[in-house]
Amino acid sequence: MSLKTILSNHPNQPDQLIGILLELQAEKDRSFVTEEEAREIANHLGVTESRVCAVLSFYSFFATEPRGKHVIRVCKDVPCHVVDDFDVLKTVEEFLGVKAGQTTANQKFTIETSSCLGCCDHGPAMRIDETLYVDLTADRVRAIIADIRG
Amino acid sequence: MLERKLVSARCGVINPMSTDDYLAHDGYKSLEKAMTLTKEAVIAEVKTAGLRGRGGAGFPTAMKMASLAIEADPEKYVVCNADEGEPGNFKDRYLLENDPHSVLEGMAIVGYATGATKGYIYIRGEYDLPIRTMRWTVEQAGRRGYLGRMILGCDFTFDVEIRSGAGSYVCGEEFALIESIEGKPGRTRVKPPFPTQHGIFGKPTLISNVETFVNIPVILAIGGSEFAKIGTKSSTGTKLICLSGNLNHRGIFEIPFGVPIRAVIDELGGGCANNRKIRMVQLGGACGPIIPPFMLDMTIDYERFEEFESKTGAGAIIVIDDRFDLFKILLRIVKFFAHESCGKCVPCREGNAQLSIMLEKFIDRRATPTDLLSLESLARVMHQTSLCGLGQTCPTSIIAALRYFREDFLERIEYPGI
Repeated sequence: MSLKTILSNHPNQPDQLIGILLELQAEKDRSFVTEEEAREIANHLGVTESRVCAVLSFYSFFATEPRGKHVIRVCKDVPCHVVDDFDVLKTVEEFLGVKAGQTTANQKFTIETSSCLGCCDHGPAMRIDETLYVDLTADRVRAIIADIRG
Repeated sequence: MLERKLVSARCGVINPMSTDDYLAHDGYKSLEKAMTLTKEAVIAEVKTAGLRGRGGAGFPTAMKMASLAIEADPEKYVVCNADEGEPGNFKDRYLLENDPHSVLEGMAIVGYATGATKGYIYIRGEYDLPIRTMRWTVEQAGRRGYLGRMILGCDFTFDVEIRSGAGSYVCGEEFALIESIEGKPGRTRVKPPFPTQHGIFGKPTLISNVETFVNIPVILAIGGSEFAKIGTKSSTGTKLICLSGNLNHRGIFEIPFGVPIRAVIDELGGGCANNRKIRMVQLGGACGPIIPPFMLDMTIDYERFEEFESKTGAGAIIVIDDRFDLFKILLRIVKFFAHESCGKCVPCREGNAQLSIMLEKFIDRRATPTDLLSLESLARVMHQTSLCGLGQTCPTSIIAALRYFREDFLERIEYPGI
């Protein structure tokens, strides 16, 4: 779906901004928003570009630089931390050879940390794109990523 | 039996993706009943029940409903706060995924009683499945005539729209949530005016937690006075408890108020995992107090939790065993808040950065007696002067630790010249 189609599916109201940005990012391979797109959205909704930029920088889901095709988000909060005997984040970082906040050279994966994913009874947990992975073990973490990598 | 299932009675019993199944289990009966009553009578029933908000703060729900009902504006909103970002909480996800219609039924009843015409459910962006489930459920409820125009053939119109968050903890705070629904960064506002006077798009708005809304149909079904018999005098009804951390059985359990924390941990949680000892327990989530094992005989109710001056009542119990260092846990919590602070007010934005510097000194055993005093004073200042609930409650774990783990702090201090 192009940005034009997304915009035409939403009423011309400023409160639609977050929904539009979420849809746009989901459509794109590298889940980020460009300056031109931000300008187009601002014009369409009748808000300033700075308002769109403020929203983009405030919410952690949004990015203005290209991410990898898949975004891996590892929970780092206390309920997961205390049951994480093997260090999920380190396992992911070592397996992909990049650190949190970085993207692999083949542009396939970006590693990020995440606030609580709301599945503390099945921690440790991570979320890749729109899928939640729980009850992780080191082997499972590697298997999940290897599977996505193909 | 500690458990008593009222709000989670259908969870795991019905197929959440079947409206027929919900109807077969008395679904929408409470909405039908409410609509035979006057608006005032519905609010009176909730008042008799003594229902208090289940998001943590424990504000009386009937009072919120009454303040929205008296507003004359023809446009009024009901918002279900499903921005469950508090670490250690997953009860709202449980309700949204397992009994989605009951959330809509509760909202529709509140909409009817307050004269609101539209509802929003603001679900955090991380909750992919609840967002999908609720979007489907809203469509189903509309088709069956439980949402939309002329609900149940009466002169009552109520629509519900699902809004997704985009990764921000502070949006669970009511004014930040309102800003977010309006399509802005989730930065809180100065109150008053309160949302029931000046909420979304400047219109009167009632905001409540998912679990609170699911309690409404229960109250209509069993009656306010029966509901008030459950639990304790100051905290009526049941509470969904989220058990997490180093326990044998983690999960969601529904208990009447008044049960001791220790009973929940031992009987429902199966005790500390791997035969280890409990070192500390955090109540409510990241914004809640950390208490030592000797305090676990305290009971779960709002009145008892009030001494912590925080959103302890949200229902999370995070058990941490003796392998973990108190200060490293506190630092992890502070870093969470430093990341999630919206940055609008100074005490929260700068305070969390300073708290982490001080905690690092305690971790490295290079804290001085002055650091202890500064830590204590800064935590208090943040609690008293921050603009919203996030800033006011983020130092709760430190304030509680300073009180109940005082020895640990003193033991870490470097005394000059010794």
